[in-house]
Amino acid sequence: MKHLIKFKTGASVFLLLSFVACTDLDTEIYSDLTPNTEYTTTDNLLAAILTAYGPLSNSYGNNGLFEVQELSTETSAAPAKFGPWDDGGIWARLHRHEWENNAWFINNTWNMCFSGISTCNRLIEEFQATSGDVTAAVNELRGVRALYLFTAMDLWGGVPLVTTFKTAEANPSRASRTEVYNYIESELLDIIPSLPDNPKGENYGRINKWAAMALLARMYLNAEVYTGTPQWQKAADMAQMVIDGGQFSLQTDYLDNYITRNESSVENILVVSHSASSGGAFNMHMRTLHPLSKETYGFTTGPWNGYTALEEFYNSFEEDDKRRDIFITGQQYTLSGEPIQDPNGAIEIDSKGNPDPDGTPLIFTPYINELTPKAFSQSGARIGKYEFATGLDLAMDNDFPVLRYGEVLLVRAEALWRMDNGNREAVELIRQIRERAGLEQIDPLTEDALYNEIQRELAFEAQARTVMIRYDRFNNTWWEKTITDPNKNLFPIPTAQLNGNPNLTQNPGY
Amino acid sequence: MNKAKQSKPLSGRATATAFRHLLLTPLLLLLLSSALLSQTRVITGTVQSDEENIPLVGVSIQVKGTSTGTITDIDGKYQLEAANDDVLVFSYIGYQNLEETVGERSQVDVSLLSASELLDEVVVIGYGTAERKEITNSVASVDAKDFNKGNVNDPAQLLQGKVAGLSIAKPGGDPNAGFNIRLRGLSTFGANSQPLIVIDGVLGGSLQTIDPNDIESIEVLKDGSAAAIYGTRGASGVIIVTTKRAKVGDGARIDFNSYVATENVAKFVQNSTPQQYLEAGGVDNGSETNWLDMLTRNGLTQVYNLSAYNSIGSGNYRVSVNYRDVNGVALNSGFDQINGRLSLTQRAMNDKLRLSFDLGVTKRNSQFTPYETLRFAIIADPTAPIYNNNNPDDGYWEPNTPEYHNPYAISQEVTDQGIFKTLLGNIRVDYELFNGLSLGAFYSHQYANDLRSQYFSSKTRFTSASGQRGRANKFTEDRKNELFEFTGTFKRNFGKLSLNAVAGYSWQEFLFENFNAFNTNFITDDLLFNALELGLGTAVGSDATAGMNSQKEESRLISFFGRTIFNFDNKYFLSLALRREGSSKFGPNNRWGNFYSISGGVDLVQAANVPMDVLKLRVGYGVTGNLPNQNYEYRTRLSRGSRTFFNSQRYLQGVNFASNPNPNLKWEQKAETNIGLDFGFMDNRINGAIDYYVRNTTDVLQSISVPVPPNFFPSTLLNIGELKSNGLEVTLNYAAIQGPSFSYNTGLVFSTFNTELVTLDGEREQIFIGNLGPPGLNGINVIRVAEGQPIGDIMAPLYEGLNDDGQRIITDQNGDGTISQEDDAVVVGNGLPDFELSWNNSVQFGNFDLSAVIRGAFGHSLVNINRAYYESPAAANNYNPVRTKYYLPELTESENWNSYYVEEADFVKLDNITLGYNLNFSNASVRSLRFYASAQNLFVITGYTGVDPEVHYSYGSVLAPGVDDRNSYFRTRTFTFGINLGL
Repeated sequence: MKHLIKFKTGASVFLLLSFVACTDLDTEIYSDLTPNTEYTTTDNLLAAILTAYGPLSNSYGNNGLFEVQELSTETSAAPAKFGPWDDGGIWARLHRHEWENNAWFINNTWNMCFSGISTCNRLIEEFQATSGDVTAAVNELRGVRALYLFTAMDLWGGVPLVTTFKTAEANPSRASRTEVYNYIESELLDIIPSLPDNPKGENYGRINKWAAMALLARMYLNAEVYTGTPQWQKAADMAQMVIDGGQFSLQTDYLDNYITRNESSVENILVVSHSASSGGAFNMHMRTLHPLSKETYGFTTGPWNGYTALEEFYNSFEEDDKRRDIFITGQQYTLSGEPIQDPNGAIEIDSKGNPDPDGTPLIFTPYINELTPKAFSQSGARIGKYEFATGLDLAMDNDFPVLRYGEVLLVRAEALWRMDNGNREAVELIRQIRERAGLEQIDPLTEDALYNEIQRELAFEAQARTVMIRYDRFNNTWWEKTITDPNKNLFPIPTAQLNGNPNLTQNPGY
Repeated sequence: MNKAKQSKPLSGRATATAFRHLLLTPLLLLLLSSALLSQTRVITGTVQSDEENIPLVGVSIQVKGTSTGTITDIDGKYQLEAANDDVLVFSYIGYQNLEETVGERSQVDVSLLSASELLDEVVVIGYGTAERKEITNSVASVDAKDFNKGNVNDPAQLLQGKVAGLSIAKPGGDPNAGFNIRLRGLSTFGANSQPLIVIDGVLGGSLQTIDPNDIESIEVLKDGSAAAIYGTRGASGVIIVTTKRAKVGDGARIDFNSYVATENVAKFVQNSTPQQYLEAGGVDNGSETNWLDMLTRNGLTQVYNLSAYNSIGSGNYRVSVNYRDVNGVALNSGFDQINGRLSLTQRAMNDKLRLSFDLGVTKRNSQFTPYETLRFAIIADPTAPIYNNNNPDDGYWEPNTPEYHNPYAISQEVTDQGIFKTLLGNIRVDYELFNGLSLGAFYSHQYANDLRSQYFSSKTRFTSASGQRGRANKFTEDRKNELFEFTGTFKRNFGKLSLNAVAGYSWQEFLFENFNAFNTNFITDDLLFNALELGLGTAVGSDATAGMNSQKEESRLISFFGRTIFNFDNKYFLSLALRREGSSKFGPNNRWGNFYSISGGVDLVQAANVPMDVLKLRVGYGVTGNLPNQNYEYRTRLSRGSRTFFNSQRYLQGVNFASNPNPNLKWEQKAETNIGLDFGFMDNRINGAIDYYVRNTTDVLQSISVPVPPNFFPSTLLNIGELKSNGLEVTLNYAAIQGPSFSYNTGLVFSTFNTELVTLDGEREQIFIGNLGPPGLNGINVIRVAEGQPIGDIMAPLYEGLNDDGQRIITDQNGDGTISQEDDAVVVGNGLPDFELSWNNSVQFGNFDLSAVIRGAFGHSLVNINRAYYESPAAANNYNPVRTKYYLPELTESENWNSYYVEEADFVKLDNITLGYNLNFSNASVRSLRFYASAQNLFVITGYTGVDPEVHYSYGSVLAPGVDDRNSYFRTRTFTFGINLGL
């Protein structure tokens, strides 16, 4: 009986406990933001808009757009220097047009475009769901989205045309290149009237009226490549609208467009803002300079000795061309003026058995002995277009020009010349560009002259590939590049994207 | 022997506050009942051994729950006072404890069973115990006497080579590094691949809370049927640690253990002498520096352990204090640790109520050295001076290449310290409601705090500190693991059928909270990281010069569980287990999962009269789970995005999506079938077990690329992927010689491993991972992960030899004229072993004892990255070339990836050899005194030219085993001298 009582007591305790047993599995989020987070500042609307620009800064900084647009062309390469920059041949293959479908710079660039597009879509829908006047914000985001779409269309042709967020298809398929082209055109034309006029101040680094026009002008100029139908007149007209706007002029000193504090440039229409202080990504100094260049500039770390200009491209600059200062060549000196010695210069023997031509003094020669695997560590003119501030750490502050008044003049000149090879205004526009560079005018204009002028003027601004394709030179051979496959005018859809989306189809030839 | 914790009853409720009241409820209830008193009288008797019927001298006899006790005399006879209801507890070293109720008898004669009787061993199986004979799944037990000896600073080391299927590896001898523990190979690649640790009932207990000296026994639940009771955390196996406690019948005892160990480098990466470096084409910097010597030393270790325990009346206690001072072979690496542990047990109410407390506290001060010091010491210019112009005032010499830095400068100018504090406390109350049914409540709290402080002085060029005039970093994290459990256990015989059942409720919460801050540009290096405010980095306002971040997350697990073991006539056995468990990590569509097992066994000796000592067949099937590592992956979260200095006026903070929400997120599921056979013959002198298992893991967690848009984020954590594996495990023990003055026992432990990827993600058939990294071999992925193929295949283009110009000839598999990893690589090895083998030996001769453990792993290969990068005369351009037996003086090319750098890494190691001497004392004041000497890693037989042929389980991912990272600690050899004193 005693047992039974105890059992009953125990059992009732047991049952009671079971009954109230806690099955609550909802935990708290402490250190992440959620859609319900309340913000303390209205700056968040602005901050949200600026996030849409975020992907640009990575891709224009490193391992993205610059690599696919420049290192694949006759302007530059990343030669393998006795080990470093071999990386399984990925850089050599990029230059030789043998890139793999899963090359990281191709995938990075894809991610830049599509995470940007996705952010724009999301923000547009979020803004539209609020009660305030969001027209300006939405128009700006449509402009940013057009820039991402344009970049994607230029690199891959027809890409998925996703313009909504909540109702977007899970696995979008590709639209045709013309459909994407038409969409970008209609979007830009629609928003241009309402975009802000002032490219400076609060609008610096953001889509303004002139940026949208200049982007459209660039797209019209390449329309034949994109759709099969040239749009020279539209290109010329759109460029003229930027010129007529009177907001920009040629910067007296070309290189002032690329200095550390280039916010003051009167020529840059749209830049990608880089800020070393907020974890910047632009590291051209690390990618192009020699480890010992640290002593020249007082860098905190020795650079990686990667990207160099090709000799032929260097030589395409006339002796008196002021723009030649974008290259760093010759003997390198320490901050105190001592010539730098590089012991490796004395011992490097390349694949053909030749030694470094000038021994231990650290001398950058425009001559590059080979692309891989034993390019001399001192070979190649270095890309010095973007000023290297003394004492740099791993990131640079220089803003990267995406659209520039100089380019707008070139667009109009080329468009006019395409319609009439004897067009006088084209000659005059090119004269303005050359005059600033300290050069005589060219008259009459030839295709070669025009092409070379554009490549020199826009050197290392992540446009070389687009220009080469427009002039049908991307499938030429140069230096160590022998492949002439026109399929290479488009990059492959990255493997990771094909895997993630079964409705994506691969470009021909891959 | 009675290491079983009596798991007892109750079930329950779950919040902390509620528990504090509830704990009192059963206590108050129980206090109401009163103990019966009765008259005592004199009891006499004889104690003898069951096997040989010889009287046992000095057997301790205690009246259970009292302080009354005595010991047997020279004839095995004893006499004491007890009452009818009293229970006598007989205990004797080497024999199992026995309890006898006095009853009406005045003479109580007993026979004690030898502790070595395999089938009567009590095994801890989680939420209770069972007798070995009732175990129908795969459970291994290792007692303290069988633990590895020598310089053991990590509990995992105790088990190395002791359990079939349990791989425990730590390449290199870093005292601050943990062991990689893997049971039965890989069972997941998206979740936790290490077994769940359970310490005295605390799920997810940290081995760091326990000193190896305080461990009584360790059980390993190997198969799914044994681990199913642990639900979502059982899939990678379970290791149950039971700490030492005083036993009923123990008298007052004091143990003192201490040892001193000296450790030196057993193996460097071979590099070139200054002369060889110059011959290879290196530039002479005019000095001779042996960087490896500069950066290593003999590491001295001291360990002290003092424990006292006693059993007094109805209670007992054990208290121990441990101190360790461990110095690694790399300069400035090591730790000192103080650990205290207290265990108390108190019985009341006629032993029906039992309370037990455990408290362990550890504080460890660690000193770390960046592995780069060792890596750079291998490749640093051997003709370079340590200081410019050999003058310390001129600063450290630094190489021209940015790929390495003066390693000595790093070791001197980087201060990296950690303070780790942890507390693990638990309290358990059990009440026996009536014979066979007990209720129990359990609460535990594990708290751990890490404080890491780093200072990179203004003189170092190392890492991001370069050029920053000092960089100080402080990181601290608090971690909590809180557990409530209520259990009911029922044990009863019904005729020939006996039942052992347990049911319960479990509520567990984990929480971590951390904070990190760094600053740069200090006005002095002298204060290190102790005055963060003295850095000017904050004034610059740049993320590169100063910053902070913090994080806090929690997760919760709630479960209901039960298990019943049926024993029919000691012939047939059946075990059923179920755990229904929910986790806050799972998406709302898959919050709760069911994990279960069924296993059965038949004792063929009893049931079929097989003429052996032991022959038991076991078959089990169990379903277990594995949790996502991430806490909130099913929810929509945003985190810090880019920050903009807007219009040169004010900062704007952007936000980005942190993940894609996956409302279907759930556990990984592993189904495992185990077939086993226990055997013993020749009077059980030969015994052992054979187990074969087949496992299938589905819903493997993986982060998969998804299109953006429509997704927020370019990848989503999905349950996708499938893995299968099988293996054979054999344990064989042989008591070869068993004399009074000489005995020899030997045992083999053998395990095979086969793990195959069935499905990756449904889209991709194969991927390559394991990037060798910059400079020069960046983007070369050397490990293939392919559906239908084993895990760990190493891929490389085939090296054929050198041509006359000293260039490599590589097989052009696809004949396209170029060599690339994508097109021309073939499988040249596998990073995981085919089988592992260890051989345990123990010899007793007179007062001497000798034990040795030889362990090997076979069939695995390693990517020797140091060779791939640095073993070429051309490397002398920037580095001191690595120079193993494979060095090719005529090679004219620089670093490259090909099959020449993949080496077979089969090895045999003498893990441990120990010689001890026991002194005899006629004087009863000293119970035992033993001196011993021990050597670890005395020899390693291997063809591998790298530092350590040990299996390298992970290189960034567990799917990329077999890669010997350039950043690794050297292999060491240790000699230990120790003393064990028992009072």
